[in-house]
Amino acid sequence: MAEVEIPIGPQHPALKEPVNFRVFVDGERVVRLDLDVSYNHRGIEKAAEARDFPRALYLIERICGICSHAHATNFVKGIETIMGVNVPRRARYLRVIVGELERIHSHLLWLGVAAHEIGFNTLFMYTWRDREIVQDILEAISGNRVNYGVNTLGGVRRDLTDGLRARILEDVRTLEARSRYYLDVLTQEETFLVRTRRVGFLSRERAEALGAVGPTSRASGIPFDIRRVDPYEAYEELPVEVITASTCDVLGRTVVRAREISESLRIIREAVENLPGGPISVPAPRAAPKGEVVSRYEAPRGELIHYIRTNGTDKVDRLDARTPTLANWPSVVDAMVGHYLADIPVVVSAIDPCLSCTSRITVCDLGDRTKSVLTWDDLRDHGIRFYRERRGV
Amino acid sequence: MARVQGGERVTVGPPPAEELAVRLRGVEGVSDVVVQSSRRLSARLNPAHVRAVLLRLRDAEGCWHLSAISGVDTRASIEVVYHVSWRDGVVLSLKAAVPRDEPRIDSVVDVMPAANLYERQAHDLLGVVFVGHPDLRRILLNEDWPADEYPLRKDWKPDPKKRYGGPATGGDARG
Repeated sequence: MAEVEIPIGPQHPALKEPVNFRVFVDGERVVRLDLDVSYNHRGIEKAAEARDFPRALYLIERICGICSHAHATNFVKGIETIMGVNVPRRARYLRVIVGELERIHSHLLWLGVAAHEIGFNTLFMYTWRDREIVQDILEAISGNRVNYGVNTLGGVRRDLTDGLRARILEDVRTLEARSRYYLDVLTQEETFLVRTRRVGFLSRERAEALGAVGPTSRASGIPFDIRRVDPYEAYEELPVEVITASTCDVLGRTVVRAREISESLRIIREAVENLPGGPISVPAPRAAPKGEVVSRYEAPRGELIHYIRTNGTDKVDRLDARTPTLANWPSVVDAMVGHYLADIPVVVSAIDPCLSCTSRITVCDLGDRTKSVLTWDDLRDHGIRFYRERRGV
Repeated sequence: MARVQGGERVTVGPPPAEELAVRLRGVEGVSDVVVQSSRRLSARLNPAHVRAVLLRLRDAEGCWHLSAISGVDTRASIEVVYHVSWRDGVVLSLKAAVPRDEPRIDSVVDVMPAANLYERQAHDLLGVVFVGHPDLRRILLNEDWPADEYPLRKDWKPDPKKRYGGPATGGDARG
């Protein structure tokens, strides 16, 4: 089989992580998938070494536009561990509240994207409308819809007023009803079931070996959630129910996320109702002693790791950030083999990759060795047409 | 002492990290085991034993998850740090120091397939050669990045006269 060489081309400013796939197919069946995650490397790990902690915090918050709070919290709690700073309880609760709001907005966003990839645009519109409720709460708390800037060394920068607490509780009630509705749709609507059931199979053994994390691993029956096994911030006091599924397919990954929305809402309600009093931050020193820490966080997409080394100055000596999407890529490659070309969009989306969908896909037919380049939109249309003609959905 | 956590009874015995540290101290190739907290451990690892140690952790200690591999330039050597974790939340960071002028270490992809992309990362940014890796290509830097330049090394500085990929500076922007 001749290797296909694709120029790594489009560097698109709108993308967070451009990915190219090389897909080898036999007729409609995928034989092999090769991926390339290079190019838009921004050098944030290097840049972080040149900034003092408060400035590095703002840089690190910008690693990801969707789970920015995950990165910021994970970094700040790592530095606080090295400094020995004891963050006030109220600040820990506030970090959890913003973190769970972020998880809901991320999962709703994903649900919309997944619905769109299979041509179910009504669901896409519904979920994104409801996501606005969450975005409005986040804006009311922090002033921002993304990159909230809530964290600071030693605590948080924003407090909740009593009026805002009442409003959050009211919005949580609305969202609870909506999340129940989504779970019904996702488990009963035929259009959705045909496109997701037994698609993108990833066995528990493969998921463990390939290092899958987050909803991707939990949908393969692995009860692994950092909030539960390695609790941070207020999760010791607000225990999380780990949501798993045993179907090991795209449907499972969807159901896990839909149920996690309900679980996050429960945590927010509990945290807002029992918000402890006291200060929201304590002063932190400028410099950190020489030390190292492995800081873990359950981001919406799974286990996020920051390995931080400090050297006695006000800057990090080394910051290694391993994002959940990198951990989940090998699972996509594995789960794709043997499936239809038409399933690629939904299987890739099912790990909730932190990238938009402009990357090109090259299709190489093993029969006549021809090559063609499809855009993501072409492939999405192909998937919808394929299932409409064969299954009538 | 037992406490109820989310409906499930969890018995609190000695911290899991302490127990693990005792067992690790007897493993060949592992030294300087430090218990940093109840769920964090670190240790030095002899690079020659990396495969044997990870194999043992996987098969005898039930360590199923390779969380990450970090490359660190300590100026004296390059440290390859393997973060492996257990279901109960314990993370062990195994630090293997390899010489800066010849940073070579055995690949562990066949022991823990999750290592594939992490090893390529350390290879790309710090120049570590993972012997036996099935596909040790670049992963993060652009394909026309100059060879032998590793941006995460502490002595690396971009040379203003050099091209690091993309269109030539000062020339036609269309390249």
